[in-house]
Amino acid sequence: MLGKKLRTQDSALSTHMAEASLSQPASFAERPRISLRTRLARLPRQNPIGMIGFVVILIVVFVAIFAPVIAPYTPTSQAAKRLLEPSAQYWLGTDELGRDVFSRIVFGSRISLQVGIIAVSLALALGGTLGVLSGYIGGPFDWLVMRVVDIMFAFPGLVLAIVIAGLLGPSIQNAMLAIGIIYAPVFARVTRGVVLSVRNEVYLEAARVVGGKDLHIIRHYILPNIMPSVIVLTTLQMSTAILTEAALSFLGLGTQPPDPSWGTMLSNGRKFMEFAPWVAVFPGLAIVIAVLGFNFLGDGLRDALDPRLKE
Amino acid sequence: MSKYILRRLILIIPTLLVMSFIIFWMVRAMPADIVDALVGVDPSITPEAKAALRHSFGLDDPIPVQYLRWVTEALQGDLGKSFRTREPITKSLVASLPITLELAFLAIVMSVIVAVPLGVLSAVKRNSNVDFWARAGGLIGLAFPNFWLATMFLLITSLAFHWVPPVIWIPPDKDLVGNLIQMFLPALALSVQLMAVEMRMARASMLEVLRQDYIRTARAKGLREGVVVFKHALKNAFIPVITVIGIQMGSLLGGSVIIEQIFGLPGVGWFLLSGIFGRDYPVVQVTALFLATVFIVVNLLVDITYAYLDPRIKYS
Amino acid sequence: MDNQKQNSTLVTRREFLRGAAAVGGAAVASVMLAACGAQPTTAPAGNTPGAVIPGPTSAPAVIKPKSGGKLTWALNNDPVNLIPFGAISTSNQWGKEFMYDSLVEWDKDLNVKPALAESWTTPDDKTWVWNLRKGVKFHDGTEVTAEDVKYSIDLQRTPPPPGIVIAQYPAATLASVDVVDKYTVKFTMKSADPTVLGYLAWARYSAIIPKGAYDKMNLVTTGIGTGPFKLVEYVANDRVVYTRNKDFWKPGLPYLDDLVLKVLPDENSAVAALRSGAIDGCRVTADTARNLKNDPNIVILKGLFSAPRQLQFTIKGDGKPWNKKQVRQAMSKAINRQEIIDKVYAGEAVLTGPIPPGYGDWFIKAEELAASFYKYDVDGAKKLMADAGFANGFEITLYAISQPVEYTQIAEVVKEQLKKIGIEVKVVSEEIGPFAKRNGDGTFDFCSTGRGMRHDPTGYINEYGRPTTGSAAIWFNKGEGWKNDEAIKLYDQCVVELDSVKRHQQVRRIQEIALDEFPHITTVQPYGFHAIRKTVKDMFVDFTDFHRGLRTAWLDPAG
Repeated sequence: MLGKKLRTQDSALSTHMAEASLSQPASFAERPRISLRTRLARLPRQNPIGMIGFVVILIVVFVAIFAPVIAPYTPTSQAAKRLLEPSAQYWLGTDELGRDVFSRIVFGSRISLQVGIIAVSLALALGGTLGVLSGYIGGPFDWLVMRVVDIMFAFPGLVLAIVIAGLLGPSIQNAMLAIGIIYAPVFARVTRGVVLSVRNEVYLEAARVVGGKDLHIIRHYILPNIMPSVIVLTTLQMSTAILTEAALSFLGLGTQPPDPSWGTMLSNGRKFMEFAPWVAVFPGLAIVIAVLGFNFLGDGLRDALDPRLKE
Repeated sequence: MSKYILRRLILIIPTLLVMSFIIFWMVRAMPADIVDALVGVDPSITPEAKAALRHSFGLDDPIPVQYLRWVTEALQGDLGKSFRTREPITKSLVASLPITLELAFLAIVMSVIVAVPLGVLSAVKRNSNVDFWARAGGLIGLAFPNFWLATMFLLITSLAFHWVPPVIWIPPDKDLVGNLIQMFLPALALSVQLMAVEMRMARASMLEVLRQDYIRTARAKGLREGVVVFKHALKNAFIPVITVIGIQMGSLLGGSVIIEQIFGLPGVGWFLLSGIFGRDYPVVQVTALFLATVFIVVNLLVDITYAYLDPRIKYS
Repeated sequence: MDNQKQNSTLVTRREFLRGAAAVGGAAVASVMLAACGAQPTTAPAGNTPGAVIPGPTSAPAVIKPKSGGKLTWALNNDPVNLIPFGAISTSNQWGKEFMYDSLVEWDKDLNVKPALAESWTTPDDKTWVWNLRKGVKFHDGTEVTAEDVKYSIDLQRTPPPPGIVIAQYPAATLASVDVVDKYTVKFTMKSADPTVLGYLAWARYSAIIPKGAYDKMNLVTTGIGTGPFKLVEYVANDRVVYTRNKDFWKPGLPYLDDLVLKVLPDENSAVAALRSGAIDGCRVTADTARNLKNDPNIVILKGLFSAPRQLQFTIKGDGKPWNKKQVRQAMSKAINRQEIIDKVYAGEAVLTGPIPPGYGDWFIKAEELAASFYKYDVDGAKKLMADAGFANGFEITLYAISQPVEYTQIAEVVKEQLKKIGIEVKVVSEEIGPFAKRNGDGTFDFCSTGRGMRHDPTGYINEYGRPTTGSAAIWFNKGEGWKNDEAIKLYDQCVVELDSVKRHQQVRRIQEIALDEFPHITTVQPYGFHAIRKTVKDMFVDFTDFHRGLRTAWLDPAG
């Protein structure tokens, strides 16, 4: 009884959450039967912003993969003089320890992407699974999971990040873990909200009547329905993760030196802004570009994948 | 409705109990304690001297004993004293919370003022140039780490105008104008990301609303576009914006610490952070729980507002 | 009354201080001796005047100091509490230093000067008789008497929590503190102790507070002393506000009406605030100092302060490579300290041994260090490594304090340098709490750290002289991993040696041993920089790493 009532409230709340990240509550029932692939394929023509994002992310991924080839110097080598201006030899100048800023930014793309991808995948795996199961199974299980999610939500993220850094030692892996855990409840709520909205729809009932197994139903009916929301949310959260890493770096909890992280470079480079701006500005630009890329892509995907936004 | 609110309020109690236990355990699981943090690197201090100080904080008792002691005292209304200052934590909270709340409030107000009209405009003029630039602008705003924005604000005002916001906080009840002048830049730095998110939400929900039957009907009835948009749609466009505020409240309260440090505002975020770094366990426990409570209450308010604004939502 | 005499003494002293920048350190002391006649010639002064490297300070004021005005100084670290007694970090002292005085004080160049004690005598090696200045008032108006001194010095032995017992207190030698009469206090020692004056003069742990103050108020966030400023309010993470103590025992001082210490951890914000006049001064790093040099409204002060940086080993006799002396010598040879100076400190640092340059005349000079002890020699280092059986190098983890970044940056530079002799260094930077715990527990192989100010030269070398006690016992496994019998013998002598010449020889020899065996690798000593508005006069970079200049600083509205 109680469980049922509470679930109904939660469904309202979850719908807010879904909206917050997606703006698409209510049902997917009326969605036109166009495959995900087709809709993705239509993206470039219909959505220039999404396309720009896609290309930017592609470039960042390319730079990250081929970093050793692209970077002219070892990112940790301090062979140069400190704070050299950008020149033919050091394209974006050198930092306070005499390291090539360009090479550090190139290698830094690996860390930013790792943070984005691994942290958000973790959040997705953790939160998404909880959300789907919770929404699908319902009952006391759902109630319990949602209470846990409530707690995680209300928990100050900063405390969590610092405690994890403290417990496991500060490192980029642990920062990713922290960011992943902090983001997990968002995924849980969004996926659960969508699952609730499709759960009782006709075709699902039909599947059940025909005697479909739970796993089968989840795979064939639930997952395809939550994919659009999850894809968009994932893309957007990746950009936030990169910013969160930068914020953690500002507080000294991010990447371990001397590994190049854009956040650390930006944070430490600020003090040279007036006389050696290249130390901070270029890593800052890298952050802006990557975050923008993910955001453009996410925004484009939202337009492309949300059928109700079609005219 | 009132039953629903009551139930949500009651639910806060077990939530906080569970959280209190987690936080209590977590802060103690971190390496180092207040004695290490107080003493710093000083090789001349003996382990015995450190142990004696540990004892004075009751840190040598088993953790369950410490936990029970704390909960018992808290239930009697005594939230405890800071290890560091030996003063009641509530006193520090009362001093630091208004700063952060004001910061969050101003950031929200500023963001709504800019984001909602822009989002609505963007939706109404969908796929126009206005739409493209508003969206791109919003996304660009989202892409700057706020410590970078704050640093640039200070650099620019100090170089161009030889002015920065006063470094000592001016309470609004003492000098409202001075307070608002002081809080403008920090709130702006905090609001930019919020602005971007709200702009997107407003645009998206506006798009959806515009498609809906009653708007179509209104249009069909021949009402002028402007009237349609404002009368029917705007109210609905606010709904997701309010939701965003509820969700962002957590990051506004705890995450404003960077802005607080850069502008020298002794808010609750900084209070919490220094508690963590200084291993001031009682401060971390109480502040984290308190922020969680604020978060939960704000979200409850958001839900109530939501129901009020959108009659379709019914809470059983 | 007595005031007349005091006045004349003090005027002499002040005039003298003003000229001090031009006069050499040695001359300073002799003039002072003549001027106040308080310092007994037999005084076992911890710090005799010496070749102090005079850092450029603000130009000596030619005009008469003006009274009045409010000065706001930004602190980059929060004074965590204001406790008068027990162990504290340097930033705590920043918060409380203006309200407290001790029996004696150091001047700018670390010469011991009378403070609450007008004069003192040492009838024999084991007795100190302190004659208190009459008419000195605490901030609440009560007079300072011998009872207060006894209360304070006795309580400093075992400070109430959160105070913590400190090693600098002469606990082993001080038998009793006795009230002779209202204005006379006697220390009876078990044995001679040359460190007592330094302990008192440093004033970090030796404040004089009213009798019973600990029972009456929360001395963590409030305080009452005899200092030039009275506490108005203390707000954690925010500010410490002081107002002028009109009854300060140095007539005419302080000049400032109000002194506000504002916590601003971010250097960029502090600089912006300074430029805009929202604050009047702050500490800055060398790069920022250079950048601000051309600002017409800002003056840059430069000076040495006690902060020798070092790389610290644990040597536990467990067969790890650095248990071997040759390996440690090789690492020292492979570390290019000039590169640390150039890159981490923008060229604004000097070489240091265990005792930092500027600490009286106890230190080994940078030129000598460069010529004899710190020769950068990668080939020599490789040979030593090969001789020790580590031609292929080894791996080691180097822990560093994360804030301020300089410790981590030193670690980053050292990592690159040691690569050249095959040592693969992994850098881990930690916040201060866990780092401090690691350091105290000895759960590290190698770490990048620093030492602060010490009350006595032995404070910088005690780990070499006492490898079996305190933290050193953990680092060196009670001496089983590392010890040097000569250093132990010399240390035992120099903690009781009253003859300054002999003591210098002992301290010098212990430093030489440390610079040969490298139980820790000492590196560099940075310069300190203050950036101040040009209206601020007579401020200086304080060698003790405090801000004692603010006690006598004044504001000239005309700039």
